[in-house]
Amino acid sequence: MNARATQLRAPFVLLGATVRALPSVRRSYRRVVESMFVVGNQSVVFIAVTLAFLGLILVYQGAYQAQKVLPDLSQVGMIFIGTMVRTFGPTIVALMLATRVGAGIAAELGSMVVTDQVEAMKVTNTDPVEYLVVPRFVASLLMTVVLWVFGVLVAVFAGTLMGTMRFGIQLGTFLSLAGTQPADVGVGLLKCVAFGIAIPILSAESGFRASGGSEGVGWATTRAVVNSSFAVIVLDFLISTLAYVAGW
Amino acid sequence: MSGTRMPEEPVDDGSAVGASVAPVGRAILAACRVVGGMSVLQWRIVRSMLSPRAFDYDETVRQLFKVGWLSVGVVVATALFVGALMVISSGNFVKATGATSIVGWAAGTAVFSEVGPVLIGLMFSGRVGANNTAELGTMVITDQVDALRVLGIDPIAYLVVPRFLAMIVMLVLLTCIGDIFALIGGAIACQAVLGIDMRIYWHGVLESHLLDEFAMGLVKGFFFGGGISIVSCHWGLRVSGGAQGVGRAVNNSVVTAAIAIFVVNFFVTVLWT
Amino acid sequence: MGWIAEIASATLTLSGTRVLDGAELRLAPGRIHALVGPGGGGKTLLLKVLATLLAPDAGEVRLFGTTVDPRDGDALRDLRARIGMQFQNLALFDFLSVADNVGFPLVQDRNPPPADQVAARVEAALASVRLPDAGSLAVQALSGGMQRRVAVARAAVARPDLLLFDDPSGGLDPVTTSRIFALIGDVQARQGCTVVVASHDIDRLARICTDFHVVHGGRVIFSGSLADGRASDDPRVRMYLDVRDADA
Repeated sequence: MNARATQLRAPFVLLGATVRALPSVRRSYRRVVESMFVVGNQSVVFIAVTLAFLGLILVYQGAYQAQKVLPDLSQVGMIFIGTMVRTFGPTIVALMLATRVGAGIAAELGSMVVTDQVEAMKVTNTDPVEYLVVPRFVASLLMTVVLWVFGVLVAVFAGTLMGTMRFGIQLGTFLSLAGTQPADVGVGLLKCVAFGIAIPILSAESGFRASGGSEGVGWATTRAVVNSSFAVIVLDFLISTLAYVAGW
Repeated sequence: MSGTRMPEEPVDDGSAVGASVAPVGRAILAACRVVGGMSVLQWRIVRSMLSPRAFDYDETVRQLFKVGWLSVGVVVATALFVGALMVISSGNFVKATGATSIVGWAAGTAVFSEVGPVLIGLMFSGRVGANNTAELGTMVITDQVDALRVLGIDPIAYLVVPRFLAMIVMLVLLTCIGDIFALIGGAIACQAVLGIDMRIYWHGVLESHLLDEFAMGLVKGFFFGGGISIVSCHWGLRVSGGAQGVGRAVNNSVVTAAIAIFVVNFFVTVLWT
Repeated sequence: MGWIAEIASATLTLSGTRVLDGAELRLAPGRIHALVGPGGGGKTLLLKVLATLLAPDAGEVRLFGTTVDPRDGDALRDLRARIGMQFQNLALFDFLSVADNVGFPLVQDRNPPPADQVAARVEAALASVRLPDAGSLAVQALSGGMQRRVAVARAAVARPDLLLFDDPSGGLDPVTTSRIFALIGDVQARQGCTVVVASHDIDRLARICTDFHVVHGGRVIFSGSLADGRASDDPRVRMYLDVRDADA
């Protein structure tokens, strides 16, 4: 029971340590930028492909159902864009990042733990949280927001193709921002910030807990993906409920 | 950091156009290699399944239990939250239009046809697919796969086929179970957050004759299960490079599986409707 | 005479197993000490305790005359600045070049020396391990023996007062092994520090070490000169100090 409690507390402890070490970013901004490039490089194609198909399917289903229920397709575009910004965009982008970036962070840190590099850092008076976690944390937070915007654009692009070519909706009617309130952008941004914090912390925590050679790194990576993905779902639920109750 | 080359960095050949096009070309070639490799694996699986003497019944059952035990918890929990999420997301729309009866229908349709299979598939990929890649990767590194070959056992028949079958069966089952729990989660959210009576919700679900969507969801589960098992076995058996190798393999496995899920999802939907 | 390091009645339990059982170790300054004993007997753990990477559950650890308090971050920093360690699996940072690896302990200090001084000391350190042109290479580009020499250079570059080596010759051919041990002797002669070497290679240890400590079952069962050890009543001590008589 005690071990379980420590396990559940560990990510929060790491989050606290990371936030405390944030001021060091001033010195290590080059590593932050490097991390951002790594995250971006790793994820851009992946997000583009998945979000494109997401856009295609959302518009397909939306228009198909609208055709069946009420033969009016004029609202499809604006509802699609609104829900992309507020709901599907942040969630799906975050789930993709949880798999790509979360696994990446856990694999990197995990293999450093099992080869004693983290201990070598401690002996040379380097704080592993400051040196390893903080740059990845800041990079992930910023890139989640950037990739959310990118993902939404890709999905809207793909969805527009589907809406105009397959269902014959007028471009002007489809590309309407009438379904997107500032509150939607705000909620989407809040979700991205929450996801961008949860993913690197949970993945780093899994990586640090790796033990036992290559196998240990594999398990740490698996744990990171599952924990990060589940956290995204739970946080999504919490923020959506908060947003509804607060009337945003 | 000071002129070191990271192991996977491309070599710079100096030309600007080359530098921008080359990575794309390399990516496409890499993608083709991966897809090709997995097609070969699929073919070998089919061939193995056709010869009944190589079929390992016990191992398949063992994998079924293992896969199920690993994933049931995560899938049920995810389904509950996702169902609730769907309902809450439609909350503003319902408040604005007062169309309370639509909530059941909307939640049911979305969950059965798209959101259920895809999200359950993604969580299954993370929980079971990644685990599978890590397990097979470890076996490769510790020479256990070679040991099997030396003993005259075909690794495909012994390792891959049981997992392939187990994951397909399990994911179809889990999609079914998950769909139901998603609806339950939606019902709770409907009452507790939106303040709409649950009975209106369930009425909407049941009146909507969503059997067609439910069936499509199960078919998607079938294909997702097959896809995830092939992807995870492919990357697991190709591990190389020590401590970082298994981590990289798991990484590739979940990424490929996610892409496969979205692509297959699209084609099944379009071909079905 | 003041001991440079003392471990008194140290007990440590890891994963349910008692790995250190009342271990007592006293190290005289300025000498080369050998830690010998069976695999899993506690040699690596004692080195990690000396490096302040592990704290025993019970017992006292004194370094440079002061008691080590594992909760005092600043005191640990000061202690670690005077310790250098070469790990069993080298623990070289695989994301840094050879030169950056060797310079790491210097750069991570609270008051790092200016960049040109760091570069000069790195060059000198690499020259002293006979790898003068290896600075810009990636760690993975070097052979096992060369990587080991880089690890030695990194451990010694900050001129620590206490230098720890965990299995410096593991898996190397006999010629390279002799060179590594000679290198350890050189470093001690040049820098005048205290050295502790954990190894199975009695013959090579005999050439450079003056004090021998046999670690068995989590306790130190002998401390003294090699001659005294070989004449000991305890058959285990004789066995680990003189492999030729293993069946006696």
